[in-house]
Amino acid sequence: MKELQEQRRDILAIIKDPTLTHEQTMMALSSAGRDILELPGDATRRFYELKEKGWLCDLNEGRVTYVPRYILPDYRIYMEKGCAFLRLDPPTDLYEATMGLLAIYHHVPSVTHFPVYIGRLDQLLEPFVLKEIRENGEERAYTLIKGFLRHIDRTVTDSFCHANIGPEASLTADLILKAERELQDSTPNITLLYDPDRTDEAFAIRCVQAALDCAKPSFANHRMFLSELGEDYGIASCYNGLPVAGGAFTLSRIILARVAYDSTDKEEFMRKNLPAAIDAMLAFMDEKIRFLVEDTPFFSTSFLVKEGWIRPDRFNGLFGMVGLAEAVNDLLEKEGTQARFGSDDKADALGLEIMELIYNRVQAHENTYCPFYGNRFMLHAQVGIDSDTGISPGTRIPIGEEIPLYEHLRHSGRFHKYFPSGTGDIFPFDVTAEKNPRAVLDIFKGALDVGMRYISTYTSDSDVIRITGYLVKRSDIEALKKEQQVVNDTVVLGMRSVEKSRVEERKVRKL
Amino acid sequence: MLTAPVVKIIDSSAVDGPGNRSAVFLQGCNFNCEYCHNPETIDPEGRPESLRFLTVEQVVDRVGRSLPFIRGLTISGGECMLHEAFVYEVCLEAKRRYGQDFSCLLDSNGSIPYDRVLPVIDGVLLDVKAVDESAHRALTGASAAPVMAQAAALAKEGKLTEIRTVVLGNCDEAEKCILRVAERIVEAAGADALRNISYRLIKYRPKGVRKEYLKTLKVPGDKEMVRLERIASDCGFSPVVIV
Repeated sequence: MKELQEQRRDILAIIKDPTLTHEQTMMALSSAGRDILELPGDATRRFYELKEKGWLCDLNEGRVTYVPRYILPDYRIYMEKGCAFLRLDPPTDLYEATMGLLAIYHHVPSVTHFPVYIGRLDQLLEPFVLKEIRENGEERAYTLIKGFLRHIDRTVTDSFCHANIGPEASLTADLILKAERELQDSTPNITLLYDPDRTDEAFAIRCVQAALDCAKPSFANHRMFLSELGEDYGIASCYNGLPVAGGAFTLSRIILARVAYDSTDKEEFMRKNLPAAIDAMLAFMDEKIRFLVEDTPFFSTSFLVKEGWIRPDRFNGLFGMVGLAEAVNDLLEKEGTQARFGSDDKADALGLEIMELIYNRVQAHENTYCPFYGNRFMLHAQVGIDSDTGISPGTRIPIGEEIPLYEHLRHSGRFHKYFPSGTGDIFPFDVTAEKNPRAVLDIFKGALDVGMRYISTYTSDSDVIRITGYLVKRSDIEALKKEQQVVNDTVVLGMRSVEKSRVEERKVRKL
Repeated sequence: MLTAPVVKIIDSSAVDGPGNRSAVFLQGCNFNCEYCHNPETIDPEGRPESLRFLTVEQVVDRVGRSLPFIRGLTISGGECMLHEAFVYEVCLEAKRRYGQDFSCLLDSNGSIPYDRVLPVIDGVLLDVKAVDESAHRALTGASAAPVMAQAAALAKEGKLTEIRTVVLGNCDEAEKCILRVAERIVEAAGADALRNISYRLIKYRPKGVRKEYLKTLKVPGDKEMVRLERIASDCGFSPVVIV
């Protein structure tokens, strides 16, 4: 725990930071206040001992969490019944539907206090869009959709906000794609739930064109998610697959690289340090979830629960990890091998061995607050945070060490299966891809065939770029560098990641 | 065993037909185009450093390694039809192994009839370089007549995938190409046929071109390219792509 003087200094620094908007100042102050608390108990103490060593990380949730990290409300409830708490009747037209959703989003919390999931917009809005087009023409429908999306970008000032479309084509989805290409905004992030058997090819190509133009949507392997999470799932935050009407209580992460650096050899890593880190994190997550469910009022008082938008039994604990590549490379180096993760079979085999260990140990752990997933935590390939230096997201091959495209996709496919709650890879393409988006779609289809769960792209000249999972405008980063305020609080994370994690050096693929 | 001189095989190409494809380049051409940007592949007896004589099996194996990321292969050159028997066997074998949906295209100059290979290919990316006999002869050293005949024959069979024209200088010849080839296709296969044929307008670039031609060949302006794009679209070609 920090001393009082130090805390005061930190708080004053927040208040005096010229780059923060008022909203950003409030958010930072709320975290500073929360972090004064300490959850008693051995599990927490043990976790923070290992956090001090750099092995574990609470991902800005602090010692206590008073709201689930990710919430995926079932927005169909609004369409069918309205919302009693917010005094909203079920909408009768597109204007009411979009206005009502905007009001509801304001009341959907998360770890960042902004909604991380805003629904399957095409399915929610399609009946209203069709009615609007019938009665007032397509231009009016488009104006409403574009205004709705612009409003989200300017008020949900954080890029961890995610909309879903697909798998089937719809007029609404096309209006969304058209608007996003015009707006060039970072929020909301969008994912196409893609199934080549259900997603019309021409629509999928339009999605690729939009992605090359404005970095969204990403493509999720719908069949894969369906088999694990059932029909009612959504993609939230960066790329997190979670049950709709549920979400995630919490997400902590192991920084595998740092556990490896502190291990004398593979033996000590596999037998002693990694299991110890896993166990400490499991115990901490248990305690945190127990506190959230039992000791905070959230699940007994929130209108989201009372009106059936979410159910506690559809929440899960997310067990995150980063830096597999660096851990593997370090352990092999200690064996005197120069094999690199991604480029050598030996390194990849060790990567899989580590994943199996994590998977099996986490699977062996029971948490009865997570019945949706068989009372087990889900693994999550965490994308990293702005303070990470030299640590690659999840199981990604480090930037700068990328391998030929097809090999890279196959490599990703071997690791994606472990992460039902999210993982993904990013492949920027040279601008020539815009001339043949079908070629990019062929590659995406192949990627799904080789086991990839989630794939994103953008082009070398996009203003909106994908940092690790979230999107940021290059022009915003430039403004922030000049110490100007920017409305979106994720820009600062993007700026630091660009500086520290070489995001702009990611290999651009030429076709 | 049947072999062919293979200059190179590309695992991923977005510029050799629809979608992502593997592209196989064979040595030797019966044209000698002034603007050829890889003139080392023209001489049938030429042996560029990367050249290997490969069997049908070797080519099909290599192309197959790019599955499931490609939708097919494109055989290019040089002029691939100089190796007609090899082309036939590669496409036949590729379809036998990877399924009838695995698409096999040729990037070809239209000088040699496609009758024999037609059953095993899905289409041709046909170069139409010039339409006036004298202009064609001056540019390529060969007659234009067979090219137009092939365009018509392929369109009739529904196997004309794309027309490609390298656009030079003032664009007059390119404009004539677009109009004349559209006319021939409509005569042979009806106006509807154009909707399924793409037109690729390739802006001439001096990169790789032999020194002796650099002075006379001119790069067209972007405005002109856009004008040609409109002409091709108005004819009914779809899609029309400028590169």
